[in-house]
Amino acid sequence: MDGDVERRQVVVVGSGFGGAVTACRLAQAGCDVLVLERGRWFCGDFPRKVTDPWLWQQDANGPFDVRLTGGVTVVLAAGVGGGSLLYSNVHLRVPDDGFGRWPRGWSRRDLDPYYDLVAAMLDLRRADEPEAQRYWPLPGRADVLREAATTLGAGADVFHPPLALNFGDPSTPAVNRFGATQSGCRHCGKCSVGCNVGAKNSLDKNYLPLAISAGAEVRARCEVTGLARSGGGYRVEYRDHGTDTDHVVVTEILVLAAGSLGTTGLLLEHGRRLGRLSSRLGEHYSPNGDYLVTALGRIDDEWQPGVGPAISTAVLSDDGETWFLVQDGGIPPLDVFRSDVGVRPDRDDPALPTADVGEGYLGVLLAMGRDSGTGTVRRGWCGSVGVRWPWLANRPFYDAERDYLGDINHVLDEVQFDLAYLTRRPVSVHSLGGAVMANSPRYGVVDGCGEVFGAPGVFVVDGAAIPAATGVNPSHTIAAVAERNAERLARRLSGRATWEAPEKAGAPRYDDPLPVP
Amino acid sequence: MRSLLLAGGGLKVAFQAGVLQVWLSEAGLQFDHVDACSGGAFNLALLCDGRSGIEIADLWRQLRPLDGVSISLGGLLRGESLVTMKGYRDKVFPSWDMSWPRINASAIDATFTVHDRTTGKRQVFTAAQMDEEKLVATLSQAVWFPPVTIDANLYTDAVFDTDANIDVAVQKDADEIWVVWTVSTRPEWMPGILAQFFHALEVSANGTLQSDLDRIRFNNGKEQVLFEKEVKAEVLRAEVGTHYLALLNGDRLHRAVEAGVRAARSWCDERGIAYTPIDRGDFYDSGVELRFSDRLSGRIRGRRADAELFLTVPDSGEFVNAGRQRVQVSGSVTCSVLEGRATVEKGWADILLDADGHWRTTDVGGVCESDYGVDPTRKHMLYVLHLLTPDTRRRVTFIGTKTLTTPTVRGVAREAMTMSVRILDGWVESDDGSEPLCAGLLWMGFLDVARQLVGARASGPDLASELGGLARYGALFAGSLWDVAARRVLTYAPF
Repeated sequence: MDGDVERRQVVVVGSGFGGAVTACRLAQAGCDVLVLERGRWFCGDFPRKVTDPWLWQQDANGPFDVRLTGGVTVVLAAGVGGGSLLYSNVHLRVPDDGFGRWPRGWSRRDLDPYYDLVAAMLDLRRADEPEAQRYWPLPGRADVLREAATTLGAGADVFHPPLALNFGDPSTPAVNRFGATQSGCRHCGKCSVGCNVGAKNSLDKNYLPLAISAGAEVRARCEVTGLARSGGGYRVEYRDHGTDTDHVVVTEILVLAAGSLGTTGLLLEHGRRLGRLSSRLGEHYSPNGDYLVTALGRIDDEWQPGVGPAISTAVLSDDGETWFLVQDGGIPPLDVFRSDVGVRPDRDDPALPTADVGEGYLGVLLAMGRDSGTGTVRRGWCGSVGVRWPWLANRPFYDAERDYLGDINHVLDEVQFDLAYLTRRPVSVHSLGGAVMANSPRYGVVDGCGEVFGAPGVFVVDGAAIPAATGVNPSHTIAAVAERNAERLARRLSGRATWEAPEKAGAPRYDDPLPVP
Repeated sequence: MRSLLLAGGGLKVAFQAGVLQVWLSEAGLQFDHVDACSGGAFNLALLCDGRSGIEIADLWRQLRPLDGVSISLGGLLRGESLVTMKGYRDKVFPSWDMSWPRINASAIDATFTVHDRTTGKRQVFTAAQMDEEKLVATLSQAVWFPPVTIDANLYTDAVFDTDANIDVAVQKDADEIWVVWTVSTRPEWMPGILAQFFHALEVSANGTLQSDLDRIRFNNGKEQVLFEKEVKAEVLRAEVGTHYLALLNGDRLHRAVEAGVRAARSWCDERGIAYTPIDRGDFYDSGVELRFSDRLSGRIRGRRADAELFLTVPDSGEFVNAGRQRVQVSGSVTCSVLEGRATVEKGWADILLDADGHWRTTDVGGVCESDYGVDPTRKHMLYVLHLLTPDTRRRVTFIGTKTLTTPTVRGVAREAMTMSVRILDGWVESDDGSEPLCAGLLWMGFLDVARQLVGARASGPDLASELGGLARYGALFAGSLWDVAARRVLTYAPF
C-alpha cells in the first residue's frame, strides 16, 4: 500500500450502463464522484489485427474478457464505457408481462419515463428509418431475415430494434452535444469488436463526458481488489494497472456496477467485510437465454455479414410457453489473406468512398429470451468466479430457440453449426443477476432501490441487480433501472426531494417497436 | 378427307397410343388416311392389324421395355449399331399377336414412311406392301439400329428426313391433317453425346415439321398455289416424360400412355368434342398396399409445428402406373395456432405429379398447334388435409405444397423435404388462392427421411409382390427426382 488515503463521497466501480448512468446523475446532483474502471479508454484503437491485444487478460489492455465458467461461456467487456463498447447497440424494453419476478414498484409503466430518458440520451434510431439510411441502405440481412420469417408465417413478428448509433456523415467527424467526437456509422459490421470512428453512441460518448463535465473523475485501468466497511463508510482498495501501483479510497457511498459477474464476484469475495449480506448472493443468475448459431454454407452476397450495423432486424417468438427474439448478427469480415491477419481494416468500410465491401464467410444468427434465471455465481478456485447453469432445466427453452434458428437456416439453405448444443454450454454476452433486487433479503440481495441488504450505503446498479432474464437485449433496461435508482439516490444525497436529471423533462416519448399484443 | 399422321418419337409414342384410345375409341373420330414415321409405325401396324384405339393403348399398358432391348456386340464392334430390333422381332411383335396377312388385307388407307438410302428419297409403303422387314426398316433409327436391306435397297428410319409426312397426306387428297407430335421442344440443351444426338434429331424433326406447317400456311394464304386446295392442320404436341430409347421400367412407359389419355381428353374438352371415357382404373391393380409415415416439423404462423402423417398408397401398381399418384393421409398436425394437436379427419396427397400447364394454342393460317403444357422436369406435391382442432372443434384445411424445380441434387433434395403450408378456413377440396388464416413452412431433416424409408411397409399377397411394390414406388420417387435434378445426365430417368 502506498499513497495517502483518499476520501470521496461516492465511488462507482465500473463504467458500463449501470456505472456511467449513476456516476453522471450523481455528479449532476452535486456529489463528489470517483469512477474506477479496470479497462482503458479506447480512442479509435480497438484491436483489428490478430496480433493486437484483444483480451483483457493480455496485460489489462484488451476489450474482451472471456470466461470459460462451468456452465456458460461468458463474454464481458473491459474498458471505459463497459459493455457499450462491444454491444450491438440494441435498445429494447421489457414488455409488461416481463416484470413478474421484479420487486414491488417495478413495472413497465413505472420504468417508461426512464426508458424515454435513456432513449433521448443515446439518440435511438431504427435501422429502417430514412434518416438511418442516408449514407447506406438497410443491410441485405434485414430483408433476408424478414423474408425467411415471412416464409415461416411470422412476418408480423419482424421488427427493427432501436439502435444507439450515429447515422450521420461517415467521413467527417463532428463534436456531439456532450463534447465527444463521433463520425457517422460506416456500416462495417464491426460494432461487436468496437467502433474506431466513434459511430456507436457508447457511454464514453455521452453519459461519461457529461459526468466528467459535471465534476466526476474517471480513473481508467484501476481494478478494485478489496472492499471493506470502514467507519461510517467503505474502504476500496484498487490496483492501477497503468502504474502498477495499489491505492485506497474511502467513500461514504459505494456503487457497484462492475457487471453481473464482476459485481457478484466482488460481493462474494469481500461481502463479509461489508456487512451481513443475504444468502441469496450469487443466485438468480441468467445468461438471458443467449443462443448463438453460425450458418455455414451458402453465405452469399445477400446476407452480407460484414455490412451494416451488427444487428438490424429481430423476430419475436412467443408461443405462450417460450419467449425469445431471433436477431441477425453482423460480424466483421475476417481477412485471412492479408499479411497482417485480422478483421477488415477501417479504411475499407462500406460507407466510405474507398469501400471494399467484400463478402463475409460466416453468418451468425442469435437468439435471446426468457430463460429460467436459475443459475448460480460461485467463487471458484484461486479467486475466480464460476457459474453453474442448469442446461437441462432450460433444455425445452433452448430447444425452442434452436428449432427456430434451424427453421430459419433451412429457409436460407444454410447448414446450422451449433457449438452450444454440442458442448451443452451456451455463450452469453448478456449476463444478468447474481445480486438481484427483491422485496426482502429472503429473496434477493438488494432492495428495489439497489441498496444492498445488510450493507447500507452500498448499491448495486448494474445487470447483477436485474431479477430475471429481460428476454430482450438488456442494456436499455439496465440503463433505465440505473436512471431510476440514481435519481432516488441523488435525491437522498443532495437532499432535494424533487431532483431529477436535467435531460428528463425534455425527453420525448419513444415508442418501442416490439410487436407485443 | 382427314389424314392422321402418327409422328415418330421412339418410346414416347406410348403417349400417342393414349391419344388413339381417346380419339378413336372414346370420341369415335374417323380418319380416311393414316401415315406413320419412325416409332409411329408401332401404332399404325397395330391399327392395320385390326386393333382399336383402346386395344393399342392396352398393349402399351402391358409393354415391358426391357423385352425390346437386345444389344448387338458384333454390331457395336463393327460400328453398325448399338442395339438391334431382335427383341422386338422375337418378343414384342409376337406378344402383340401381329399377323402380316391381316395387316396386308387391312381396309385402312395406311402408309409407312421410310428413307430409302439407295435413292436418297422418301419412300412410302402401303399396308398391303408391309411385312416385318419393312416395319423394322421404318423403325431403324440410325446409330441405334442397323439399316435394313430389302430387294437390294437400303432403308432407314425417316426421322431426319421427315417425322410426319405431310406430303403423302396431301397426295392422298387430305384437306385436314392431324398430327400427334411427341418429339421434345423443351428449350434446354444438355451436354453429352447421347443428349446431343437426340438434340440433333429434335432439331431436324421439329425444323422439318415447322417448314411443312409453313408450307401449309403459305398455301392457304396464297390461294392454294401449292396444294390446290385449302388444307387445315391440327398438331397435338406434348412433352412426354420418357426418354426416346433409354428406358428400362415399364411403369414410366405406362404413365406416358395415361398422360396421352389425359391430354387427348383435355384436348377434346377444349374443342367441345364429345367422348365416352373408358375407365382403366383397375388395369394396373397389384393388390399391394403401401404405408409410409411422414414426419415434418417447422413453423406455422411463426409457431413451432409438427406434422405426423401416415400415408397409404391403396394400390402400388395403380399408383406407379396411372399417373395420378394419389395417397390417403391420416395423422395429426400439432401447433399452438391449431390449439395443439389437430387431427386429420380426411386427407389426401398427390405425390410428384408433373407440373401441370395450360394448353398453349396458336391458330394461324389454318394451322392449329396445341401444346399440352406439362413439364416433367418440374414436379409438384400437394397435400390437402381436413383438420379438426382439439378445443373449439374448428374445421380448417391444411394445404401443403412442395415444388421441385432446381436442377441440382442438393437443391431438389431440399425442395423434396420442404413443404409450404397454408391454413384455410373450413374444409375445402383445393386451394382456391384465398387469403389463408396463416401460413408457414414444414420440413424434414435427413434423419426424418431415413426414418421414412425404414418405416415403409407393404401388405400384399406375397413377399415378392410386396417387395416389388416398394421397389416400384422407390423407382417412381427416385426417377421423379432424377427428372428434375439429374436431367443433365439423361433427360428422363431410365426407370
